[in-house]
Amino acid sequence: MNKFRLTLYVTGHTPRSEKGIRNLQRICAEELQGTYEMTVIDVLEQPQLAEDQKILATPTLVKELPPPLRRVIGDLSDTEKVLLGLDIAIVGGGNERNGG
Amino acid sequence: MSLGPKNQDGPSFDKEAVLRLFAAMPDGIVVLDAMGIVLYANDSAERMFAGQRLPGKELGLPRVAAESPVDVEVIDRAGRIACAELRVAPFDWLGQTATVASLREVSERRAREKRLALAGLVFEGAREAIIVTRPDGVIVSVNPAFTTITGYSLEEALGNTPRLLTSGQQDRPFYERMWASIAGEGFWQGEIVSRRKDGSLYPELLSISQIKDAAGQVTHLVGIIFDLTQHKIDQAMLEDAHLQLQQSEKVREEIERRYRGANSPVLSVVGGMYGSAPLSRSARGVFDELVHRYGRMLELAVENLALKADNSVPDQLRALAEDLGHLQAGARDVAELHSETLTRRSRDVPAMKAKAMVEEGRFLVLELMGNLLSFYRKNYSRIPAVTSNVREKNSKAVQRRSRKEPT
Repeated sequence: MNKFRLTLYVTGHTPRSEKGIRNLQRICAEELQGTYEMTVIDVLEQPQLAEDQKILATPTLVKELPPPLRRVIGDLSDTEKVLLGLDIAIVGGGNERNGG
Repeated sequence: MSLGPKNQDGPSFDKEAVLRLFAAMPDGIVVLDAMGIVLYANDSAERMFAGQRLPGKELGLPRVAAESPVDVEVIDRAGRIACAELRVAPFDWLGQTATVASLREVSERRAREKRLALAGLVFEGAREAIIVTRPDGVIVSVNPAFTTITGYSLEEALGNTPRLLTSGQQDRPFYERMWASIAGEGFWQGEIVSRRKDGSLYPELLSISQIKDAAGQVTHLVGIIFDLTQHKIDQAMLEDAHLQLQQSEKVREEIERRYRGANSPVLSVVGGMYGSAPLSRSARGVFDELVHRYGRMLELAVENLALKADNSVPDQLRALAEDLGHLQAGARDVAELHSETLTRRSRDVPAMKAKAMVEEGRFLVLELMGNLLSFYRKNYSRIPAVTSNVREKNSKAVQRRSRKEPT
């Protein structure tokens, strides 16, 4: 199975950032079961990375692998919508979700 | 909703007018395709992103439930960050599936909410009781500390007035002055005695301030009560400790007074208190004469040893011991007498003689001490505590006796 490479861009150590990180951790643990690499980037600490990726708003979650590249914004609280936005159900092939 | 040619059937429909309407909206409006690429952004949205041309850029798919907006941070080209409330809805844009997102700048509102939340925490968590009243004195809010201090619950306080706490300890003119100060200066602070719900009285530091609106109208009064009960207890303990300190100070001064009275710069404080200064310091003159006498005895003892002479040292030693006894000398005085004598007498003599003095002195000093002990046993049955008047009186007699003795 392809490994998912996910990068979450947040702004500072705010409750909103923490909520985004918690939601992503939950999604990874529940839906991706060990087949992921997760990176959190604070745009205040690494503005260049955000600039390079042309991040316009935070929290933004970028799925770098497997293709296609996808990004979603928001607090990631709605798992179904996040997975749909990241095209994960489609990329997973036989791993299609049937919760929605 | 759909925007496209097929919708141009309304009587007042004008595509340009609708776009102008979107452009003029104070909220940022962004239309995104299925990949999160911006298809359209109104002026407000582009202002939020510091004038960036947004169409064609990838914002990302806003994956939020339409009914529950979320806050996101919007980053402009200068790296400035603003907080925006994001709402989304699915949308058909010129025949393709799209998402319309509205972004409302809420940085100031959120900052204000944060300050209010903090103020709420301060109100709830303060150890001082806080009472908020209308200008007519009716209580509209109290914090938990109010209940802790006064015993009245929030429900009991609401609708009531602070007269609830009146103790009767302050008179009418006092309250008149207080209200005059609040009316004139907008503020009053003072210490008063209030009554708790259980009837007990307690001291408090009370501050009352007027709260005014932007037009300068008084909207509320805020009273802050600091319970002084523990403070008063601490103060009483402090005063007690201060009193004890003053007493200790008096004792110390008394000791110093006696110390100075003994006219001796190196007298120990305790010694000064009880008059037990060494003879060498408290009666220098007589001590010097005793050194002289003891020195002669030492010379005689050395002569006896060297020349096999028979000088009557023991009698003289006994007389010296008696004089020391009259002066209430102790072992320390004898030791000082001995060492002072040895120092003086051995200074300008040949080494052999000095050595002999030291050797013979060992016997002499023990004999002197023995004689002194015998004197005390005979006359006092114990070694007496020194009393300065006895020592002074006897010093003169000893000196007289010393001068009569043959040199």
